[in-house]
Amino acid sequence: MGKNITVVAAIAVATLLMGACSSGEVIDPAEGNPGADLRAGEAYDPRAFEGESINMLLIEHPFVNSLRPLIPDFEAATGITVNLEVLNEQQGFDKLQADLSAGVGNYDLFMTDPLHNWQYSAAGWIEPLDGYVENDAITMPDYNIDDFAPGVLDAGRWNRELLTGLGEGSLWALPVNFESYNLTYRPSMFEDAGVEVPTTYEDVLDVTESLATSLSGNNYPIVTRFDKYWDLTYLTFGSMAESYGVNLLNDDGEVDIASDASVEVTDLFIDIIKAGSPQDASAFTWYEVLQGMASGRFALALNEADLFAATYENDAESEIADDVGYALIPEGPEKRAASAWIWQLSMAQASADKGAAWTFLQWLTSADVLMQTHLAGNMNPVRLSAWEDPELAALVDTWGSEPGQYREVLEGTAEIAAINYPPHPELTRALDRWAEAVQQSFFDGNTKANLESAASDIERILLP
Amino acid sequence: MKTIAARIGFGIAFTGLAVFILFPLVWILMMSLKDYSDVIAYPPKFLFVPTLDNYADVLFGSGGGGEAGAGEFRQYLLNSVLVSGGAVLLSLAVGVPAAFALSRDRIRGADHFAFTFLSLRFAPELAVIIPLYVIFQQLQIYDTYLGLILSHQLITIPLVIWIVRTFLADVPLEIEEAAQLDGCGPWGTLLRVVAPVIRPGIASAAILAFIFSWNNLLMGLVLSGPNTRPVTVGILQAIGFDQVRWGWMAAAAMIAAVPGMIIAVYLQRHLVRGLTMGVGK
Repeated sequence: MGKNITVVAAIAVATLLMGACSSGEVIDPAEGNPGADLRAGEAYDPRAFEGESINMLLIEHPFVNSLRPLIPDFEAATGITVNLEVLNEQQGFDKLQADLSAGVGNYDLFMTDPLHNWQYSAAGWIEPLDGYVENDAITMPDYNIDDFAPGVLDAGRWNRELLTGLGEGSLWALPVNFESYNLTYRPSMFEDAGVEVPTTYEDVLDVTESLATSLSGNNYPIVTRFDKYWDLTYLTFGSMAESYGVNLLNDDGEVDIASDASVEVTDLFIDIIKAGSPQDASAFTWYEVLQGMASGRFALALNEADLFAATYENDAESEIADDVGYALIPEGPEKRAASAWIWQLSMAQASADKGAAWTFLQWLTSADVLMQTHLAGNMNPVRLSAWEDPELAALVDTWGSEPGQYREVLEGTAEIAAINYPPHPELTRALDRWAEAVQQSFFDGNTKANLESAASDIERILLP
Repeated sequence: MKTIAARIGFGIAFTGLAVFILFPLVWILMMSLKDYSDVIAYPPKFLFVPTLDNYADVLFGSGGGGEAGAGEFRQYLLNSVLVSGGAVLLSLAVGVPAAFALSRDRIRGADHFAFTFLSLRFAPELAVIIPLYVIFQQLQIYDTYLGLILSHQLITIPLVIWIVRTFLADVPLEIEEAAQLDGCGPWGTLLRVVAPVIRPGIASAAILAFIFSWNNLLMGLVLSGPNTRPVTVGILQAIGFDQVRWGWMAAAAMIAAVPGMIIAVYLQRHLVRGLTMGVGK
């Protein structure tokens, strides 16, 4: 984290320095309609940008391995050369920010997500894609953008007004997969303890306490990520808080994370962890969750990523492949809520080969090509037509404790999965601070005071 | 009695310090020899069946992350050898004459120049990395060995100049004067007379410069791409989407330490002190 902050600081300094040296002209890609006039009036030709070369920065993810074998087909069909660079998440985003902030355009295309894109689009570093999508001269005839799940596609839209306007305005990215959050449990351990799969968070605490008495040795009732990082408050605990009616901002636009409901849900979350997780649970990231659950040490993974199922169901990587079940995320007093994480692709505003970059982007996000990536492990699908494919349906049909269970839970989750936070370039800083307060309360029990202190810090971050 | 007690105390302190320093290295070595289930076992295992699978995977398998192709890590090693080796050679070629010129107050304000070079060491790389990235893109030396070698001069030149300069301060002026009397110019004096005398200084500067260059992460992350990715960036690719491949990472770290050790052992024989003792008498 320290390194991250210093990198960001350096980028800020360098950006200021370069800004001072440049002509002071601000390039706003949202002006006009980029891509709309490219090859205007001509028919779609996949070889229109033959001979050009594009660079793409990817973040380490099963999507990357599913994409790699398909690249030669694209290169043969279009005559465009595609160079991939793959880095892990932190390094990848550090390097991407260096490239985008300097306006170099070394990477024509890159993997991203709504949170990062709120920074990039606010700064004018990325290209709005509406003009490209609508331009028949550069987009394949059967592209069909309406086939994307509306909520998932709209997560790429933002009108760049702070704290509002998600799903409105320009389209900054196209999705390639999404994950949401569910309960993953071990049927055998639940049976031994004589407990049912919980449907509310109060049930989760009861079940955890029962499991704690029945499990032996190194086995524990529950696992969930609990690091001081924005993914806690954005995704996992964030889903739980949302179902208790806790919002980052209330209707009057004030930071509202220290409300009575927020204190209640935070205390319940902490009680659940204290009742059923190992002592070092406060340092758990998604790695510990995935590996811990796959190793068979835990009975229940609370509000964790549904696509971890691909690992759990693979008996080469998991001890629980024949003893795992899935259930909908629990319900809170207000509603059942699940966050969504969406991996997307965006185009750099500074790219010098936008025609070739778009040719690749629309090919990659077309129904056929996305389907090939899904079959090779890129989950979950973002196009509505994907589940009509019998091969894909068969792939996940055996997942879960009974046939079709994973698919059923996924469909139920898809109905509620949403991005529950208002768009803001500094949102990760605010959510980091909130996560810190939750964790602090785990150690000192002063939930109300910790949340109030975080709320006032977040106010300074988001509402200057 | 007092001596024995002192010895025992010293022994305990020495052992404690040795354990403190060596434990992380032993831990990494052990981790590199464990399979995945032993690595994540809790409580940690000290007795386990060792395996060389991690080493085989690093050297002959695919990269730690999503990079395709076998033996990627060997390419990272080669990249680092070329970049760090090239950076040290260039720094010696430039830095030793610079240190010589700066060592005898022949230049007005020599100390200021020397300090300016040293300041490159304590100026954070982060302050220059983004401008360098932009310049390298424009000059088209991004993701090239030349670009990385040039950028590493920020690390290696100050080290060479300052270490060599300290050694030059111990070289008696008389031997330089003797060389000049025999007809040597400045270059002749440096190469034929002074350089052999300060060989230990050059060797230690080379070792340190190589190690600092080898360990650098930021230049490699920002200024290299898939073609010149160094070992430091390569090791971090063990942090994947679904797991941190600790065994792979530990084996890669052990292998990555080898070139530095070889350089140190090779150059160590030059680290003979006292070559100039009594020269001026």
